[in-house]
Amino acid sequence: MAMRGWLRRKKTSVKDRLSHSGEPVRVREISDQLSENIAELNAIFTLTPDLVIRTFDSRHAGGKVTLVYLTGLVDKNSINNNVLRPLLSHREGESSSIFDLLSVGKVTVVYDFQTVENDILKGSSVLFIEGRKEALVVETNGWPQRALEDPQLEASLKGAHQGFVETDSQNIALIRRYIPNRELKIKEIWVGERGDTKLSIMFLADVVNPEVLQELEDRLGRIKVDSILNTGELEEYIEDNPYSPFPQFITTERPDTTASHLLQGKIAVVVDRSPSVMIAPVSFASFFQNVDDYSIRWPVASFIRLLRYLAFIVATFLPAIYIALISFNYEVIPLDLILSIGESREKVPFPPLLEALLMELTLEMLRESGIRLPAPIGQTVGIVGGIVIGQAVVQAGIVSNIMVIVVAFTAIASFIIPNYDMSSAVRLIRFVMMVLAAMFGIVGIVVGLMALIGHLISLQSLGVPYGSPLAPVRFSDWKDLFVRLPLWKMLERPTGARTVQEKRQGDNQPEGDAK
Amino acid sequence: MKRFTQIILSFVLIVMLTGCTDRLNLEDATLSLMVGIDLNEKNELLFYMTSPVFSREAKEKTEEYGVRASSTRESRMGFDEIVTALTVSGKIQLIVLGKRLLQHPDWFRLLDVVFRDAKFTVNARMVMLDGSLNELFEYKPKDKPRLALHLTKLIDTANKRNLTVKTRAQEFHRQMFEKGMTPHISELKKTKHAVRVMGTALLTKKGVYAGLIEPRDTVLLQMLLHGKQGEISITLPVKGPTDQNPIIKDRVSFFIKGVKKKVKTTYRDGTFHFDVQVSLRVSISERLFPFNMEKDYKKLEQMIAKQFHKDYAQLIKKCQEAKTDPFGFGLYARAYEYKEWKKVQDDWPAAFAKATVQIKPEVSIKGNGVVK
Amino acid sequence: MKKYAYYELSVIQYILLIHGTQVGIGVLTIPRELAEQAGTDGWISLFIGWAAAVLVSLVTTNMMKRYPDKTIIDIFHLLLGKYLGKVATILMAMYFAIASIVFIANTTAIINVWILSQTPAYIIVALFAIPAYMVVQGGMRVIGRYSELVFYLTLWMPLVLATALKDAHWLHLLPLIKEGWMPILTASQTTILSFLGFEMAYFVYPFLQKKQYASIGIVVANTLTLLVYLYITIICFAFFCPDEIVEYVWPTLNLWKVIEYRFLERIDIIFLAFYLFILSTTALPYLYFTVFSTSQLFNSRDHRKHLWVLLTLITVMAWVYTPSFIDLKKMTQTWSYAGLIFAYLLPLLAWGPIWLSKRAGGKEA
Repeated sequence: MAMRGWLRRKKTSVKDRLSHSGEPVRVREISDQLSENIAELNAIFTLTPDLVIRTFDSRHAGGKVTLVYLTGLVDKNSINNNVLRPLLSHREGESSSIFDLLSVGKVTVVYDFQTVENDILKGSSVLFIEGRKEALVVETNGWPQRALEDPQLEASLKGAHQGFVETDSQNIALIRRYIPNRELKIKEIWVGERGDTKLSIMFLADVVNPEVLQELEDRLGRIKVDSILNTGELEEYIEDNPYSPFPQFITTERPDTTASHLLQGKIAVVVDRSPSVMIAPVSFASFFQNVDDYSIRWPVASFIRLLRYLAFIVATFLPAIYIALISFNYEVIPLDLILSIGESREKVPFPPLLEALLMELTLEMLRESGIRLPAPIGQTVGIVGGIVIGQAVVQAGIVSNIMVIVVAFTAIASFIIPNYDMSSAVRLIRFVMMVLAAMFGIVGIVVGLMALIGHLISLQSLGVPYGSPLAPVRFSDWKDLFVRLPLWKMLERPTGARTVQEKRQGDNQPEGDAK
Repeated sequence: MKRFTQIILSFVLIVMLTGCTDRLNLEDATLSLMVGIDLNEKNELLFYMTSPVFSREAKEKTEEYGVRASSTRESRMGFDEIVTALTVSGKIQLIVLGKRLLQHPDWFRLLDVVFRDAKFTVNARMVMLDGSLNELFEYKPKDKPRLALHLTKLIDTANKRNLTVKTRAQEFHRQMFEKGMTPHISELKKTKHAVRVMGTALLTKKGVYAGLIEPRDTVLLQMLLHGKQGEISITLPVKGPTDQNPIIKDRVSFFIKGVKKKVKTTYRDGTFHFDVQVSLRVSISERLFPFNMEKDYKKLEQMIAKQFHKDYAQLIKKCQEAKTDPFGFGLYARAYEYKEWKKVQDDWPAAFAKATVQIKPEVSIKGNGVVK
Repeated sequence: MKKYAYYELSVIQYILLIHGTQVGIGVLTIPRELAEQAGTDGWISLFIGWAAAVLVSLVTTNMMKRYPDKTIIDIFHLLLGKYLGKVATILMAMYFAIASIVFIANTTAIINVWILSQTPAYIIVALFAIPAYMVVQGGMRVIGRYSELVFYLTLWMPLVLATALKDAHWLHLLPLIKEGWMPILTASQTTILSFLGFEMAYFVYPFLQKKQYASIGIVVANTLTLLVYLYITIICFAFFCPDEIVEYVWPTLNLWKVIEYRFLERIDIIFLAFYLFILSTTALPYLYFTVFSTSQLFNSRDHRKHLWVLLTLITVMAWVYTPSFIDLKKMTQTWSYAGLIFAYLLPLLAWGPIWLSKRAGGKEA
């Protein structure tokens, strides 16, 4: 296709891009003849019915003017009021410069069709003027957007109720509202050959570690793909260990979470067109933290923290432990319990591993089926699942009561983990542990745990240890690990992100007796 | 890609490895809860076992069998021939020994497997049965849970009130090997309608049955061994100020609140001397005779102490005559008179039989209940 | 030329790495070994072993201080020349290989006796090869973190063990020094060997960030080990009677067997399974330094290939030949003698020449 040759490169930040055709790239200058320009545009945008080319007389321009835009990507009000109206209506005594007449914030002058094409595709409108070898790019972007909503995935009790949307400028604005500071810097990088996604790297310049920042930039710069549609995709291209089941970056849809991470010296990457922001570097422990932790009282927050870690252990190991105990090491279970387990299993025809796999898989299916169904049908799934799991299966003698309890407990525990990516990782690891337990009993579980620990401590996020502050142990960061101590105790930023500036706050002593 | 293959490869490797050789699902296991060893009239070894049955269709929820075998491990083969699933020994709660077996020395070697096989539990309670094991294992009381559970509970609770000792297999092993003491285990008797705790069976160093300590005296033994453990309630005859009533005798009962024991060990004139200071803090719980506590409580304390002294002296004399030392005085001898101990360590019970033991109880009444 | 990124270990990691290497199977057997030779006075010998270990460790660190950026292998090359240096490196690698193999064989045997009695040994070895690879491939940095984390993860063990104290008979420990000092001195042979592991300083020293704490650190590591041994020995002595304890091969495990809770019985199985963590902190450094030595020998930067080969070899060896318990005893003996030479004799012999050569070198300069 002829269009292909026109896909070309404006941004210098991404150097060697994929070339979709072997031809050398022609740089077309804008002609001073409107008709030539229109012909050129029609050649570029074939089969593009949403392209609007409007030619009209404007006295300011002293001749014909052509306005080009993609309908739907522009804000029609802005076009009508700020571009068309001033150009069409003429009043005496007004300045005659066309540049001054456009009542739009950002107007740039361009000279070649590459830029024109790109800007049109991104929602700007372009103004060609008869007799001039240049065009004006008017920022009239206004694509369909949704309103700010409560974050779906990360609901919060006491935190803010604004979530990110699909427009990066809005998202950046949301973050800036939390950190109105000149040290909050933004670096822009374009990634993707066809999609050309804008990534905005946000960081606090006086806090962030420059090496980590450089590492992130390098990795982003090395991505060569067609398009990045989603933050999750971006993550996969720059992860330290792509074979790990664990998420190595946090994606969040909460501006307040992002701001809190930025203040800890981490880096946020805002991906245009994606409602979630990527945060790096992160550690294992940060997946167990939540904004609400800091807005409720610290003893309660600490308790909930501990509960989450317990939930992590339960969700990972409980079915495995059940299998190990039932098929290898029943000596460990107290007599009364083992008798009741034995009685509840007396009808079950399957070995424990099969029994557990059956139930776990059923649960995973229920869970997956519920996610994408519309709410009214989703409820039905819940009811059907509840009855199937809760009663029928046991009455039919396919699984034991105890197994149902184990599975239910595991499911609840895995919902407590506040991060979706982490709780998905746990789901996967659980199955590995179950197989290990079925083969080697408690020794298998311990070996699995050993491998898990070995993996977690050798994992890195942007070159920063993932296991920190557990391994390597940094006791100063334990104030915000298993428990959350009062905020006025945390005088320094966590060392996890290797920040340059350590001090976080002054000596905030609490009022009253707590001194 | 190489990494990926490695991960896949190692996972496949694990799955392929048939590591399941050790697996024994709960439904394939017959958990023996109680085992018994006895001799028949022809002096052949008999092994008994009872275990729960997990099956919907079985009417009886336990099975029990006896086999003839020459060793404990061999008996497992015999059981496996009969019982529903494979016999496992990790949950044994009771090891019951017949009285006939305990007439023969060195029967302890039969328990070798308990300590050699790591899977065997060492927390089983050691019990001697005065009577036929067959009768006990056949016994299925309607108003009790499974026999093994019932007996376990029986011994545990009796031990809480210090009516018998609770000697687990590990502890029994220690008592057998410890030169400075002789073993003692719980004694049960199957009566017509129930199984009764008889008290504590005294064994000699070789494991031969040497006599019974009744529950009353077991309390005293337990106090010397463990101090205050569980609930200790004692009823003593005391000579009251009033005339003897033929029906209502002069008795005083009390709880022991605390026991302090101090042993002074000396060796002189060719024998060991043990002076044991026992200070008891008691609280009166029952008194069957009128007494002015506020004025004369000192007197009552002395009376109780005197009675204790008498009881202890009797108990110790009984043990010495039976050539046993369940109290572990040998430990004191070793700790404080090592030189002399070394001479007699291989036959401590004999040396203990000659030793002088002075128990000096000191009683102080701390409480008097809610009436005067 | 820096072949490895040095200066990676914090002081605590340094301490716990050495401590982790020292505490291994010894904890399971030492009460019996001491009781066999010195009765219930055996715990006194621990102090003698500790003193010897501390002394030699100090000499070792002192020696390593002369060459702060070099492991023992580099020093060999420097002092003995290329050819002899290679021979010394091979010997070193062999020592570590023997240590890891003996250790793994012992661990497997214990698992085979206590938990998985029917599973063939090579399967257990293969099973352990997976986490071993995952940790050791990360090099010193990950091993350091691992040892540190495991130390904290296993802190519950002494607390649970304290529940056995309610059945303790403290009279067993009396009288002190019942048979005179001779048996205590004999038993200290055992204790000296149970402190093996401080020879890690040969390799770990250049990785340490703050060298000024090297001497203090190694003393702390030895002392921690002493405390662990002392704790376990005294509890065992108080719990088992002196005539009985020699009957058990692994008295510590028998001790765990007795502990029972309302919600959990047979803690020995759980304990032993978790004890694998502590055992791994011994095995992994030995494995790492084996492949570290061989990869230095072949001048290769990547130790992972060597590790892969070594682990496969060990697994295959376990498949071909499963040692009997008598063989194991002999193998352990061999390791002990090798350890005596490499850990105790080597620094004592090498310190003099190194000290002198450095002085001579200093004068020339």
